[in-house]
Amino acid sequence: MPITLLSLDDVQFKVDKEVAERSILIKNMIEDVGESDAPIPLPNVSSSVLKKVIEYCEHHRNDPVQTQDETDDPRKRSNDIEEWDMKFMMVDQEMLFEIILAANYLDIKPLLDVGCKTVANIIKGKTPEEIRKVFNIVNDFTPEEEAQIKKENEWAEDR
Amino acid sequence: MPDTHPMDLPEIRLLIAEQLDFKSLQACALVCKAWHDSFQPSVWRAFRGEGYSRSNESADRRREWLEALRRNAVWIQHFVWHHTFSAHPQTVSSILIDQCRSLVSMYVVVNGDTAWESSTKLICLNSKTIRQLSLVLVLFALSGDERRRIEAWGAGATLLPRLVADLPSLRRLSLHWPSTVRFCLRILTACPALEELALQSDIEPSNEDEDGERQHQSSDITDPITSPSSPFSPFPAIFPRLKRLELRSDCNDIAFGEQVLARCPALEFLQLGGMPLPVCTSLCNVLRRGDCGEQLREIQLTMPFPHPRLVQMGGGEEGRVVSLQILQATQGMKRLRRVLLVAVAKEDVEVLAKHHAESLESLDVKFLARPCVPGSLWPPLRGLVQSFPHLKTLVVDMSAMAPDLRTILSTPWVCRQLEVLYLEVSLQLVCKDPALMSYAVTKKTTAKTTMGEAWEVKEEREAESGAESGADSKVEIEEEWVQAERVLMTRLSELTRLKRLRLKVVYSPDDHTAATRITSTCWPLLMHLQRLQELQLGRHFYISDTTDLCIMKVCWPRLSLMSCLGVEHHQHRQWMNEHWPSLDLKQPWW
Repeated sequence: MPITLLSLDDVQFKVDKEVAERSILIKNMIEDVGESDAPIPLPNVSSSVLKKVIEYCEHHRNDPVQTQDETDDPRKRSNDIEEWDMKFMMVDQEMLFEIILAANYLDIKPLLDVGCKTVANIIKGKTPEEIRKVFNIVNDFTPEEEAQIKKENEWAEDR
Repeated sequence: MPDTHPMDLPEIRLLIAEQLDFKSLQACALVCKAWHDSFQPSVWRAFRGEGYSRSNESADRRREWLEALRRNAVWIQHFVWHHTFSAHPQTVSSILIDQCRSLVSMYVVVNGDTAWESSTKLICLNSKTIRQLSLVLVLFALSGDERRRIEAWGAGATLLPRLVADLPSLRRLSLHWPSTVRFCLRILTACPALEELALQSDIEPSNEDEDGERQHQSSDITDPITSPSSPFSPFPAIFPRLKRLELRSDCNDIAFGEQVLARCPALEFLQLGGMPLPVCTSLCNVLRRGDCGEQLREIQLTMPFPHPRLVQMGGGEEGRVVSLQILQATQGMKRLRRVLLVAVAKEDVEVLAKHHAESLESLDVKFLARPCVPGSLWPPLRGLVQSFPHLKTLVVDMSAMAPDLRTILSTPWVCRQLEVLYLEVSLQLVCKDPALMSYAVTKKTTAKTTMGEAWEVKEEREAESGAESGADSKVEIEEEWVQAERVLMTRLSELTRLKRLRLKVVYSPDDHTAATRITSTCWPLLMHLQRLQELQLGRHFYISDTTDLCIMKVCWPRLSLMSCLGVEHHQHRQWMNEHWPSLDLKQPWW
């Protein structure tokens, strides 16, 4: 039976139940409320973002559900991003951040992982100043504090 | 979700920290105070104590280091500590004992009572979180009496079992410790949740039990598990959780197979070192019976066979039998997918192919110089890859053999399914012997040569090798190099499923120029390997300008690790940061 999702800007999306249930939040809501024709309101997700999230869930509808062990054990986690996911994430930064927030809110762990990997790739190789520019962050350290942390972390060791 | 940025959420920052390399974590910790709180724990999650030795020269620097450690020790999760190498181990120990409460893995080298005392205290304070523990007992720096005392103390029957019994989260234990069969059983009994056990020291038979009880005389034991008088009867019949058993050194006790291996029905990984023939026979009996082995997915025979000690004693042939016996005993292992062999011989491959030709997915072989075996003329790769059509991973190390290019060029690389190929060869002898070079590279062996034809080319070439032996000028050798490497690269380009390629070729210094030129110019032959994720061609792989990088990015969209020279150039770094940040670009280490 199809499920209707209602976005922040009142756009309705009809999706298969198994697709909607890639979101743990929606899955729990369906279990709690029982199946009904009433649309499920998602007041934190705009229609443009929800459309992208549904596209992701459609593509991954048959993926096995990640076990807790796999998510906890770093050896079982892969740093690689699948080709389809990589293309899916080729969006402007605003959309990327919206997708991450939506994945976090809807509790879609694999989508959240891919989003975080994509952001990590943006950060890699950049200086603190370059990172501040990308994320529009104000440096609230005093020069002394910054120098102190820099000096201290010189002693930290790569694993 | 207006007005919220994901990077404002600490839980998202923590998820991103898991994906970052060390340098990026250091940068993130300096962005702002909120980011510092999220990324600083990851910067300090590993501690090896190396800073201490680096700071030896200056008292001020040492104080700085200790202060930094004091402020951040609370974040340490992975800990490596050599008591023997530290000038003031007690200062560091007390900081760690005061602060560390979330250690996940520990590697501790101890040399006596004091080091043991502080280590065990730290272990006990982190008993709920420790998942991996490595303990190394160092004896080499001690005098005769002290050594004997520490050795006896280390071999104490209940010292280690008592310690690990109180670690409920422990899943992997690695020991460089005096070991016996009974010691293994005590450890496994004390820690029934253990999934991985690695023993780095020889397993020696002992005549007297540490408790004063008479230890078994291994050769007298017929069926110790069922015998009520067996000294092994107090131990559980099986250890159902153990999945990985690694013997990194020799096993000299015949009881090991029946008493330890037979109690491990769930083993998925087994690594074996050297052993005398009677031990091997007993171990193979257990494997054949199926008491252990039905679940085995990987087996590694890591000690060179023939065992160096056996060769010294004139027993090389016995070593051969050991290697073959174990491989023959794998016959019934239907789940076996991965095999590692050191000093592999033709017979080993034949036996392996007989039992696992259709199922083997990964093969890791290291060839050693074997002057005593007539098979030194046997091209080791011939038939090897042909025998296993479903191989996805092939790791070949021929560096100790100094083979010539014939070995590679004359071998059909038939495993079109290959996804991982790590190849290590040394070509020094070839460079000095033009006759050998001309042997391999003929006009027929062009870039279009198919893999299947290669061996025929070689045979034909062998017949007429006399005519070519005069090609000894440097120019000709260089031309042959160019041609030979082009053929090799073309062969590699046919492996279109390849995801990881590591080619370690050790050249003679005399031929450095030619080799550098050709590897640099040949990489475009690999352009249609679109699935590549790792590419390491050594220091002969040189990137001259960013145009190369632009082309590579288009051709290899999944590439995440590449090592090459020329990457230290500022212009390249800048381009990489802007256009290809996901690629980890490293200096080659060979």
